[in-house]
Amino acid sequence: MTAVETKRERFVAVDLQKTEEGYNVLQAILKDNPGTRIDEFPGYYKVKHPEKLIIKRETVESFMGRSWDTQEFNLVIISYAGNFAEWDDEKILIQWDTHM
Amino acid sequence: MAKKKLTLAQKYHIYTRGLDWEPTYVSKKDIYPYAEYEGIKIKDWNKWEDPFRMTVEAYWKYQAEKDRRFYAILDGFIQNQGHLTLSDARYLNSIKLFIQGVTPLEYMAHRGFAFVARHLPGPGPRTAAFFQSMDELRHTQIEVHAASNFNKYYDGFHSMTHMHDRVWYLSVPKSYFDDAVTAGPFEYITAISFSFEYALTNLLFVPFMSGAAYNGDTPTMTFGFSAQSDESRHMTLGLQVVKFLLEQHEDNVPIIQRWIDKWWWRGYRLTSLVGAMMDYMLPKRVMSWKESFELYIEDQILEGLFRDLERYGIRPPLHMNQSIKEKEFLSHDVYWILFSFTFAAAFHSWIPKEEEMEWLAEKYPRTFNQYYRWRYEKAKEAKTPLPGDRFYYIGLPQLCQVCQIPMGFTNPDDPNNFVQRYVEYEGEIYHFCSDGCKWIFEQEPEKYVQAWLPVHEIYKGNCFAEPPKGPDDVVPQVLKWYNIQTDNFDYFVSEDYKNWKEWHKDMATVVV
Repeated sequence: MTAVETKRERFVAVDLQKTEEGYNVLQAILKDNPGTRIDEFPGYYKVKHPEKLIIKRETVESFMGRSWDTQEFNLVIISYAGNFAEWDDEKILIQWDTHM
Repeated sequence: MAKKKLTLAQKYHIYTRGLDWEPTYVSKKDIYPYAEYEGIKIKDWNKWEDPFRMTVEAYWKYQAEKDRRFYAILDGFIQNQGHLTLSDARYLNSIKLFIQGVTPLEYMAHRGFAFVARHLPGPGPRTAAFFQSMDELRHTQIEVHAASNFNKYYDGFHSMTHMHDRVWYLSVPKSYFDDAVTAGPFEYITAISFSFEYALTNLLFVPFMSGAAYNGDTPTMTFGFSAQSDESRHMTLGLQVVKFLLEQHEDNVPIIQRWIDKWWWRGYRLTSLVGAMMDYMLPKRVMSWKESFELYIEDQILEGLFRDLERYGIRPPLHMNQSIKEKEFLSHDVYWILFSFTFAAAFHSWIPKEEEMEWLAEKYPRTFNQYYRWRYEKAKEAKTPLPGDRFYYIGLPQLCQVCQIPMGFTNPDDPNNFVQRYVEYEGEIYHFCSDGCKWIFEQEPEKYVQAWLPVHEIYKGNCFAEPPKGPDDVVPQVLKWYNIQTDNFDYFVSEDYKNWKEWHKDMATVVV
């Protein structure tokens, strides 16, 4: 057994493309997930939350000004940390299995 | 009244499991001959869930849209002479390494997942592997298309597949993937989908691609993020496979743990090339290797993923501690290796500029000035009779039997020494760069004694275009066999540099 020593933080994250659609999804995440932090890098946003991130179709649509299928999330996501605990027609939920 | 639309979950169920059937006149064992020999036990394939719930119709729709976006950006870049607006032509050397080293792996991944999509007995993971196989082929294509524009103007892009099978530093990625595709389907999927995709591809496809954006290379950023968005699905596949196997039978746990231990270190050593690309080859830098490692590996993988896997009896990879200890050394060691042997490489290297050395010292306060800066200061003085006003290591290096990188890795516990390990097996001595690679060899020595080591093959006389006419003709004949033309040596004596200056001669801002 190797003990691994880190003093790092635990969070869930999603890396989003810095595009018009990515920006709208980001706004929806900020609205529905108080406590979300954003790190900005060239080309992408890193969106972090200590517990979970929920992306709601309805909120994204309100920012997009059009209907939005949750599967369109495939077009703005670059990467993530966590599990897709739920992904249905109404919402996407990212969290770890073992809660913090 | 119109019929109600199917929900995502219903659609997924109908289009994956609903299309599977039970064979009646052929046994399952005959259909899936590779399903059992690795010792993995599956009780119920129906317990498999794909969180992405991707179906064929949705797959085509979104992949087509991703491609349309990529090609629009590539066309714009080409029409606008985008290559002239890059930060500096030095930048493209990291893309040469990418196209020679990574793109052929995308193709191998396409083949590997086609195999898995054929041979896994469950319809859920078969569907996911089938999508991934097509994804990997798409990645190969968009990367080749992005590179073909640079190939019109710069060296090092002309012969990627030929070089991938021959050139010394490219045997590092090649041998990695050959190791994976010669394993069984469960080890392959654990190696690539889980260890590589979930943990390590982030380093290559996120911070490095952000660096591409920062250096003005929008096509590379776009193919990188477009590919990584597929990788999100691949990461999910990897995580689901591992959790599913762990839940199916307790006998699977030690097997999976051994694969995680092995493939962490294999992938980590491969990714060390990305460390050199990020810290040394990007003229404008976004974050250091160390910062990326802390964010994507220590936070996301150790604090995140492996805390989740504890309840299955899985611990972090065996040699993870060593990777953490190496984080202030790794990129420096690897770039020094690439720098020293650039006379035989299809990319250029250079002595970092003073302000770049200051950046390195700031990002690596405990190591750069102490152990690396002096090498470049000496390299300016220790000239060799080769093009470029600086040092090259005239000779061929000892390669690690497993990762195939020259054995130049600093021992973090004793930083004035390199790590050197060896094992005697059936009367022969085999050398290793690290305890991790030595451990991997000891698990399957009969596999790794067969490694095709480029330096050994040169000495055996297997890598010459024509028999050398004398000692001075050895390297030229190897380069000819590699199809390296004017692609090697220091950047500041290259055709790339000459052209870059010519193209920018009327501009005041050329980096010289």
